[in-house]
Amino acid sequence: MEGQLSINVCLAATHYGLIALSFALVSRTAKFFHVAHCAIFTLGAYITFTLIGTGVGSVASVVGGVIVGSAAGCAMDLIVFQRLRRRGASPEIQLLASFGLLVTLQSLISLFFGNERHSLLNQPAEMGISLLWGHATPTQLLAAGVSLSVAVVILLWSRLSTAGLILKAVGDDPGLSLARGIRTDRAILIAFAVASGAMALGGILQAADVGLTPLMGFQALLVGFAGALLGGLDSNARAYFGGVAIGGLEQLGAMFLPGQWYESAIYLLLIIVLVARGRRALGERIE
Amino acid sequence: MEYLFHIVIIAGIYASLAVSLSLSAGQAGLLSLAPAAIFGVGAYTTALLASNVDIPLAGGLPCAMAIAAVASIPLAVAASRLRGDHFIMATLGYQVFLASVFENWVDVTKGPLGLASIPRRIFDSWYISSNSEFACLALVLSVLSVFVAMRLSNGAFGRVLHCIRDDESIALALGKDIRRFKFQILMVSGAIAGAAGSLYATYTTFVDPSAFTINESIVVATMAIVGGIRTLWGPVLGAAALVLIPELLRFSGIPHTVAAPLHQAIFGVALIWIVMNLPQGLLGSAKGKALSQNRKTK
Repeated sequence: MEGQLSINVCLAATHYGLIALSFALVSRTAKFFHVAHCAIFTLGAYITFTLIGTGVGSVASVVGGVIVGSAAGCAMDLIVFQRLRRRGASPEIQLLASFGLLVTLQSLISLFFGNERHSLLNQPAEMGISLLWGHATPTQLLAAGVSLSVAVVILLWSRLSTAGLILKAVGDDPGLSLARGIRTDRAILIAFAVASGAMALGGILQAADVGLTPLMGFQALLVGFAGALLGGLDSNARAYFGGVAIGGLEQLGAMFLPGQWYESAIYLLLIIVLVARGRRALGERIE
Repeated sequence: MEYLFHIVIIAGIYASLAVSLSLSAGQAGLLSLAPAAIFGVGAYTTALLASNVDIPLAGGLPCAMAIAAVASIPLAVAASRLRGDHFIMATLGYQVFLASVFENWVDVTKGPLGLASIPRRIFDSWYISSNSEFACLALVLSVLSVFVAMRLSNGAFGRVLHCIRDDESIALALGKDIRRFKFQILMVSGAIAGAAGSLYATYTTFVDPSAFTINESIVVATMAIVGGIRTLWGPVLGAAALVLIPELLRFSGIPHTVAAPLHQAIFGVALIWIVMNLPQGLLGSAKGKALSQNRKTK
């Protein structure tokens, strides 16, 4: 029992870690809570589903889903948020626009694909592979491996590359970055591209395991957001480990709380963390 | 004719709800994304009292207002620590938490099955069966909501709220107890949302969690923002417009499976368009234009 639990914790932790990291990357650089980011999670999964349905190979479909997800994130920034930033819109206004985008995208997906659950791979249920302490399906293991690898690459890129450092500078102080000659709009666009690609991949990997519905992204938003806040949005690595912790807590919570209540417990945790962290949640310094 | 009255009732209930949101968001800068959850608390309170204890709307409405105000306390606690988008995200968490309670506290709320056959008893042996009478009640509630908002926003209390909204540090420097003011406005806002929920439960005679989800909260916020969240009548205008437009779609012969997501998409696009082009809302922008024209002519 404990062995299977530890496997479930690892699988959930890698998945939520990637979502939290992606959420932190875009929200910290753009300086507002980008809730429509979760629509990219759903969009990536549905694009891959459509491509597989038209006979495109699985790997090419996944790549297609990630590219379209990334492009959709960039389009959101170029069409909506860049304009709002140029008008000096507050984070509150940008958040509202993000909610508008979320509702629109989610409704369009629902309109085109219906509300029922679809299976991404359209294959019979897989047999679990016996590991040292329990069982996991090959899809779950592959998803965990890909999530972990992509998260490590993003963390290294954001820490060691020039582009990553520019993103950090823009997130810390956009005004000063602009004064130092950094093109902040371009940096934010890069953050949208990378984070949206990672988010779309997260959606595809989840869809491969449990299928896809138009509302799958909203749940990802809440757990990813709670994880990123728990770790702290001011550091990508801490946000990632916050997501990992939420994944672990979710699995442990499922052991001690009745099934229907552990989700509520995560939402409650989200509020507590947000209130406890106060305005420092997005890296804002309080004198 | 009954159908027209139905639209008036729904518009009246949503107008009260949008006014309750504009009271906290427009006057004090506390935009909550949990109005549907507080509305749900009011609706469930009335439904439970009417079904289990046989208390009519006249008794259920004040109880719903009180319980909804109490349910707003966590929002007030969040407001004391958070502002702007941080507060909005905390209210989003609270909305989803309460929606999850409606869904999962099966012993009380009956979960997804909901509470049915709520009597339409107003007082003692006075039952309402026609939509025209209910439409009057809904209109009275929305006018009363605007009246309360007007009284609160025009006096000294309102001036402090405006100061908190525009610059909290000035209100602090003037020695105002910001937490108390935020607490009070969120209680009043919650009570109005609870009253709207109470009327909704009595009118529909059925409540289930699907009416109090985050999507409903976004719809209510869109109504208030489209009309003009800082104006008194703007939310009423927004509610009337956004209740009417989907009803017009009903006559176009679009099947329900298409119409429902299409409604949501319209709300989403309306929200983006207004936020990008008319951030003050329809009425707020019209007022602003009229004021600037007056200044020019003077």
